[in-house]
Amino acid sequence: MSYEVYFQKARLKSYLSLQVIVAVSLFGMLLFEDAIATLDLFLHATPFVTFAIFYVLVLFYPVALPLLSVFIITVLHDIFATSLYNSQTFAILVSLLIIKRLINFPEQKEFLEIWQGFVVAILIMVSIEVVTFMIWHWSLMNLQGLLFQIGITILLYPFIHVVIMRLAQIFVESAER
Amino acid sequence: MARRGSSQKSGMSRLSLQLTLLVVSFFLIFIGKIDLYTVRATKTTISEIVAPLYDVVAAPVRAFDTMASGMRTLASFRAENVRLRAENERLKRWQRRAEILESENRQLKTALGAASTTDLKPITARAISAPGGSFAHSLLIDIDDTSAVARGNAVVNANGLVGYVIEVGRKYARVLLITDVNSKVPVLLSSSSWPGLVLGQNAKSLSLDFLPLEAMPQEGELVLTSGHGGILPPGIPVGRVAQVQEDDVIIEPSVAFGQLSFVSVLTRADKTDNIGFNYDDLESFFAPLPAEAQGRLLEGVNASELLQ
Repeated sequence: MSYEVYFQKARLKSYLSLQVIVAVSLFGMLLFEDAIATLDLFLHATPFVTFAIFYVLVLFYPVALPLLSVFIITVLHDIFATSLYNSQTFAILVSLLIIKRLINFPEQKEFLEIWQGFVVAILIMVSIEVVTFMIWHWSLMNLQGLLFQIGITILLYPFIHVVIMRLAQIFVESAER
Repeated sequence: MARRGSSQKSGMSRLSLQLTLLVVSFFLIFIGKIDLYTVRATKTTISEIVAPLYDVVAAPVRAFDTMASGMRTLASFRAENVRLRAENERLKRWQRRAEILESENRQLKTALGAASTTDLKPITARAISAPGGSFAHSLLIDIDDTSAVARGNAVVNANGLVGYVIEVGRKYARVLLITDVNSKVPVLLSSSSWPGLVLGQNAKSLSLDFLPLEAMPQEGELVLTSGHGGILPPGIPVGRVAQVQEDDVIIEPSVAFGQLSFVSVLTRADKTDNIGFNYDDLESFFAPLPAEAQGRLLEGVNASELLQ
């Protein structure tokens, strides 16, 4: 029995290198999102592309992106990008955890259900951020930019889903080999 | 049986990790708000580490932006040339007028003995981060030498006030833009001289509040910093009155925040931290008074009595 357990452990693959690569890439992606916010087209309202990638990876490939990675990426980004306001980490973690509980066995779900789940996740995330912001600053905020961000992200989701699923398939399979 | 036990154990540890992350991230919201020296130092250090990485990531975006604006300029090259010639003539006339007014102003100030506000030294800095998202509008700037920069220093560009410094690192400083919801700038209406407060709204426009009841702002009127509070120097353009509603005055900022590439930090000769303490002086602030000091600390007690 003890021999079996010993060899079972020895056979396990480590996903650490994959997780580090994914985390660094996603952090770079978040910074890129900030960078394109300077363009006139997106001023202050870039689509939440990185959040969409978080969603796909956490649901379908949790080995590539554990919640600890999400936490580290978003904390670093919160501190760098906003400096004064750190609710993004909490909002993203809560929305991803709720969605993980709501969608069991995502591989067996229709794409439409996954898309609906994304809409729910993004609404939970933004609602938490908006409520925290309003309590913190005791003022109503301008929702125009946020609604634009949410709308564009929801429309972009199918493209992001297809691209990330294919890329993740390649990387996770090569890590498993 | 043993396998079920180990899977239950791993499930429990996963759940406890998730809970821990949630609790830590929840408390981070509050920690981020505490204005402790350690928290601020941590934020500055992380910004210093991430800023060069951001610079690399943003390089293609900057290149694309430059190319796009170059193409736009090329397309309207002829019309732009005519417009610039006319503008150049107009600016030359304004320059002559400004020189006359500056000389007259200096003479009048000397005659009145008015305090001069020209002890500000501009330092050019490169804007390296985006103006922010929907929730916070701040900007990271790259300065070769931050030794002269202090919190509260005004940051301007050719068009007007951009914001003020809220964090100073070794090579980078963070600027709170006037569009941020935390920004409150004391201003004067240029024509009527009514004082007010320009508030950021995390949007493209600003709001003018705390105007006296009898104030009647006119659309298109220039709004300048008043210098009240002593943080920002007076006379910097903030924006123009865009809309006057019943209970709200909307201000269009003078600065195009989407096109910030270089800015100037107006530093003071004495490097005082205008927002709070001068942190460089904290050591002397907490040091005990010398025994020979005869100044009375409390009623009936002086420094030498206390230190005996």
